[in-house]
Amino acid sequence: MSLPFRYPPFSIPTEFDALRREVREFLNEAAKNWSGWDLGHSWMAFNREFSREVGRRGWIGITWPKQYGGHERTALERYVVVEEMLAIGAPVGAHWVGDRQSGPLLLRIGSEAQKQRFLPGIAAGELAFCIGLSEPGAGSDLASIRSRAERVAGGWQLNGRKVWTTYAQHSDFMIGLFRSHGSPPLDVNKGTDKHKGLSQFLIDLKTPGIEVRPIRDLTGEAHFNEITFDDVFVPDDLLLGQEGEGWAQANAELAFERSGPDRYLSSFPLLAPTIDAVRADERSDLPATNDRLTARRIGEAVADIVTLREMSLSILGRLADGETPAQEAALTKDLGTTFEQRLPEMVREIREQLPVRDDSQALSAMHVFLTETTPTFSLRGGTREIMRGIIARGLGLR
Amino acid sequence: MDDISTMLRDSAADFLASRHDLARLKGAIGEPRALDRKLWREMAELGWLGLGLSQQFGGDEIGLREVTVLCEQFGRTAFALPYIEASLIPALILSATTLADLTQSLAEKLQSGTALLTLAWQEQVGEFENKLPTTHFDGAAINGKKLFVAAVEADSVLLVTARAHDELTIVAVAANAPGVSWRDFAAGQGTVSTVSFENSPILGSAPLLTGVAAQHALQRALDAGRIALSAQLSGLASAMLERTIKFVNERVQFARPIGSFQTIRHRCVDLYIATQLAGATWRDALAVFEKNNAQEIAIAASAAKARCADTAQRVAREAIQMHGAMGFTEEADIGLFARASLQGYAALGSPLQHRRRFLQGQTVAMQELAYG
Repeated sequence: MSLPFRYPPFSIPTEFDALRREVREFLNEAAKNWSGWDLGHSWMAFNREFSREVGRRGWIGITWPKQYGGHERTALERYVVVEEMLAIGAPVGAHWVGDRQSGPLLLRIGSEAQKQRFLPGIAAGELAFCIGLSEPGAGSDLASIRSRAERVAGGWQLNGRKVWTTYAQHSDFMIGLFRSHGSPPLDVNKGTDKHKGLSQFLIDLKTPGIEVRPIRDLTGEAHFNEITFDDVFVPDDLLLGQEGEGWAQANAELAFERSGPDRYLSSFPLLAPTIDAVRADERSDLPATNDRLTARRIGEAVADIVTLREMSLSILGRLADGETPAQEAALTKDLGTTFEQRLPEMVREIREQLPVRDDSQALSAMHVFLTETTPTFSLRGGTREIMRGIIARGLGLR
Repeated sequence: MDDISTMLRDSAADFLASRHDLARLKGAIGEPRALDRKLWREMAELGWLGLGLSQQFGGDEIGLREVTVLCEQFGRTAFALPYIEASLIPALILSATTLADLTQSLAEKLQSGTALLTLAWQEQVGEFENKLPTTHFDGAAINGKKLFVAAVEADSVLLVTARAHDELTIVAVAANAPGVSWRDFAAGQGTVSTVSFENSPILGSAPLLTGVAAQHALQRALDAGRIALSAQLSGLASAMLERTIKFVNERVQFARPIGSFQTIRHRCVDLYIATQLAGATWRDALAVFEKNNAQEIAIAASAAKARCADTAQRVAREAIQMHGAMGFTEEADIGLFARASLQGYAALGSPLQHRRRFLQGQTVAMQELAYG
């Protein structure tokens, strides 16, 4: 059997080391203001001030054309910047979706006017985007969404509900997926192709008729939202791409979302302070946490992270060559999120303490947040089960 | 299950169904909260507080077996009050003491729920009871710091392990005594405190327990706590699985209940097997406990605690995954079960620690080593 998975080796050229050092210096300075609890949030932390500073330094929209506020640098340079941000746990949430997903989507299929209107704001760290896909009845089965867009004079009228939208409560715009024509959803499952008739819209979240309800979660904070659309008007010029082509467009968008280092680095900031803590135990009279079991656990984690990075870089190389390695991206996301979920468990095994939130201890506070939040890692951006389905299809299973 | 256990299980299930509302726990996730004293007193009225007290303190023949029945029900409902820390463990420590005015009055407080009793023993992360504490008792007052203490409120009485003349002692100290201060932290569904003692006078004129008697009482109480906690974790795991099975039968995606997909079905079966294994380990530990050999108890308690904690964690993780994003919300009850599992995972020793202790298998020898 010839497997469809290819991971040709790829490494980032040393010419970008200077950029890495520059980003790292900036972050080391900025990190002095972040608590362990903050660092645990990684790309789930929304901090406009930080995003504006990153934008000012030219690190958002790095690859985009200068005419849209971009910097016309390479995807490899973007990778270097993103990797450094995630490795330290920087609060990149306010520009994350725009830089990773919405901006590239606009560049690819947006109208000239849309590009001019939105991209410079995203690149400056001023304009925050969120994604409206899932609905209460449509999660893994995304194509069965019921929220509708109806043709009205001069544009579209939106009705329905979106859920699990990260940081909608802080964002300016949403790219939302709505059913713009086709059968009612109940019949959709009986034969008609439910993937047809979906469209994407650029929605100003301040439009009348939109209600954003933050959903409190296991961490005691609210990261997700439920958004209700009640006769929300969207002008014609904010239809994104082609009417009826929303399914293909949204899926291409998800491919951007699944291949990056954000799928294996979310817990990474835990690793270094854990190793420091084990070393400190060694020097104290604390019980021996520095035994072979501990060493083996840390060794496994480091081996995993190095391998995942190689896989992620390989995908980067193929993307840079214009390929779309969707199978490899799904495989890497599945392994990466498993690793991200494993790391806080490993720390719990090694540190052997109750997960209490003590803000005076950075490792402890970071650990608590990550412990509570890791269940989402294999849900967000397509569940583990959906990734496995994609991988299985890659193996030829139908 | 014998008659008493069956009766206790049914009355616990009834009580928890009517008096324990999961919704009440929501809204303050991640913040320390005060113990619900009204509920605690109701538990006293049911005769649950102080179970395990010896006859000289007015206890009856109700022991750890019946406590595990309650704890399993507590797990099944994600009950949030620290029953093991503030009833079972203090009851067993007190039972090892001699009858005196002080111990008699502490036992009455414990049984009536009029004051909280709690054991303060751990001083460092990852510590077991085989190490002599650094908290020092000088004959009148104590100095030191204790971690992860449950049920610390203004009227609590703390049973504190301390060192005196290089021997272990257990003294009683009122939380409102001079020099006692504490900081509360949210842990799981409840609160634990870091407590400091600065020249804090003890209650009564002498320690409750000293030397070998103190060591044995401490180990016995903590191992009983571990077995009861294992039953609770096992209850949590079973309840999470049942809720998940209900959910996957109701949740429709791709025009069918997701419980009809093989990947979901097989996973539920695997988890069911895991919960059955977990149940077997704590029942075995309970049987060993009743035979009263400290060393064998330690080994069996460690096996149970490691297995049940790992199982509850595993079921929690998979249950949330099968609930989808819904499982991560405060609104969904499953998250409260997951938080409770997390707390139970580390309390009284993590699975890795217990595997180490199981391997060493000779707690008594370890103690001799540590104190020798």
